[in-house]
Amino acid sequence: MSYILGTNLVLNEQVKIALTQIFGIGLKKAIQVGDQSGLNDNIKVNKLTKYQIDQIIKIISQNYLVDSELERVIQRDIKQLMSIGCYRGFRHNAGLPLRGQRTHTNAKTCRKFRNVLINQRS
Amino acid sequence: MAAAAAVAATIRRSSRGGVFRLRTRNPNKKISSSLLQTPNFDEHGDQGGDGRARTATTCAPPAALPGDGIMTAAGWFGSQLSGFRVSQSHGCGWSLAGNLPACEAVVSGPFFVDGRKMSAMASMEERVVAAGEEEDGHLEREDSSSDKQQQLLPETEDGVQIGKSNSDDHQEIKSLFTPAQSLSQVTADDVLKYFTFSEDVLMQHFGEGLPRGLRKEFEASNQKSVLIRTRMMQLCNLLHSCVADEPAFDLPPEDAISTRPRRKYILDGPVGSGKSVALGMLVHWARAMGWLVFYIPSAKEWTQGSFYYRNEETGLVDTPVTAHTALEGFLKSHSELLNTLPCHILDPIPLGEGAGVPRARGLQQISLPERATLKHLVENGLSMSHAGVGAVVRLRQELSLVKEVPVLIAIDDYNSWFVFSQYGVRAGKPIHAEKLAMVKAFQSMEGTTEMMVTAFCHSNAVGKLPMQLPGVPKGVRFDYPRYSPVEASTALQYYHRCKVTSKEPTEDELIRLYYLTNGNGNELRTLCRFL
Repeated sequence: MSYILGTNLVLNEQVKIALTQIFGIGLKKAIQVGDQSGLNDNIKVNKLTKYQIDQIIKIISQNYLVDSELERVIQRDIKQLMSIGCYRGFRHNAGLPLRGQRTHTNAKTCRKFRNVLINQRS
Repeated sequence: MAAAAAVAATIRRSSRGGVFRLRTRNPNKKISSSLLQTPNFDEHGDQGGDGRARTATTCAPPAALPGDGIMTAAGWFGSQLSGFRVSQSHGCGWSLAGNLPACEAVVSGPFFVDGRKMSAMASMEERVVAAGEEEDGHLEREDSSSDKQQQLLPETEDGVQIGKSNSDDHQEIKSLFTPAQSLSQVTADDVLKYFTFSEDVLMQHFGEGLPRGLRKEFEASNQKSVLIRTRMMQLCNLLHSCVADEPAFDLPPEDAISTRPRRKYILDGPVGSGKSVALGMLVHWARAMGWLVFYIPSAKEWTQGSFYYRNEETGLVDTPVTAHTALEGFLKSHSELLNTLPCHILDPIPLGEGAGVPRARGLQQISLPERATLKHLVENGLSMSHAGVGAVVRLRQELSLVKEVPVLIAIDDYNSWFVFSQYGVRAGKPIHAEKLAMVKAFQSMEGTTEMMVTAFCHSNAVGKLPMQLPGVPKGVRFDYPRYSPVEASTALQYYHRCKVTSKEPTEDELIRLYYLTNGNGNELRTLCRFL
């Protein structure tokens, strides 16, 4: 396994596919990273040299928010919504959907995380 | 004896089944009865009436003819094949149509053309050519005597002749391979024979690797032999004329090419015509003659598949891995010769990005020693990944300055250098092939004195290109056709020899397979397994 930015990449996958395992990198960003590094589509992770891995890490660190930094930013934004007392903050507090979805039925995903929030508050 | 008419003496089964058409070019041509034979049809034009497909026999020509034994073709066929109606067709001949059960007949047999005996397949070609193009044929019967029956095909149990039983076929099988050890030792008599590569020759002359066409041929037949074709020899003659006064091969006058020899050619032809194989054979021939040959078996490999880096100084894209592969193959094929050729340009070679390694520290160039040879240049390019592309570009410049030996640059898949490469496509920034430093160095055919032969490949998805390509002079296209019927017949005999086919193909099957594949060597090789 190759460890890049807190994620273990599968060795026998193409680089652009393997990079999508990093939180914050999707296929589009992975292709851009590959192009900037000079990697063709069919290069696999196990063919990369240490220098190339370092280069990929450098490009991602400089240009994109990934992994724990991205999580921190997301949590900060949610806390800010809660602190200013806006509708979206109330919905985050209540553990209910906040983008206008129905709650009469469904909304299971949001409610799944509601118990965790209640436990944290108590 | 009067010269025979150009008679399309073949009756084939119509695609609609059961309707025969016999066509001749010139219905008013006068022919002698001794020159023709008829299929053995009975009064109702039925052979047995059971509808089984079989080939007709031939029999002696009619004994009695009106007048002086000379009649027109139309009249003769009309008199011989009762139950058929004769009608004009398309204004260029006439057709003889009749209703018969599934049956096929061959009227003509082995022919002489200008004193040279043609095989059955060749006579078929002459027939088709005669029917389609020639006004006056020069086909003469092998035996004009009416006593001797001309048996075209061997007989089955029913007394119907099928297959091919010409005694010359056995001689042809015996002489299927040429004894020459190298293509430079081949003579004009070895046309339509197979040349076998030895392992040493393949290792020595194909250090860059075999082209795709040759690899497929070797894998299919389990032998390392290729067919020697007249067109390939003509190309060799043209190139040899640029360096010597005499041609390389003494081809007969009818095969000799009369165009002015040039130093640059592009092999172009339909899919499966053997361009890659011809280029590979040309490379082997040139290297056996002692020429310096830079061979690129697949130009498409230079536009895909490895690392690429944008060089800010030159504005081009470097591909160090491709450079390493190219230099390695070139050194493997010409290690000793390169050591004897001095470098004419002694400027330092600039360094670029390495393949997966950090940029070189210190001076960003490599200098060559004073009496450096081309081998030093290549080895410097191989020793450092950063110097690979610079060494290849410099090598291209050096090849045009070599005077000691003839220089040939052979590139296959040349048309893939005039479209976008595979680099940067997914990122939305596609890079054109001419923006690659190595491609830019070798793409142009103008402004240099060394010989250059490239081959287009229509199997890749390049698509149509403009007639006039950038950097390509006019009049350099060298048409490379598909197999002729004779060549296809030889190829099928060879495949039978190599046990690709389970049984020896009959003439019927030969004809059918040839017209099904239209001379495409690739398809011929694939479909002959099903015989």
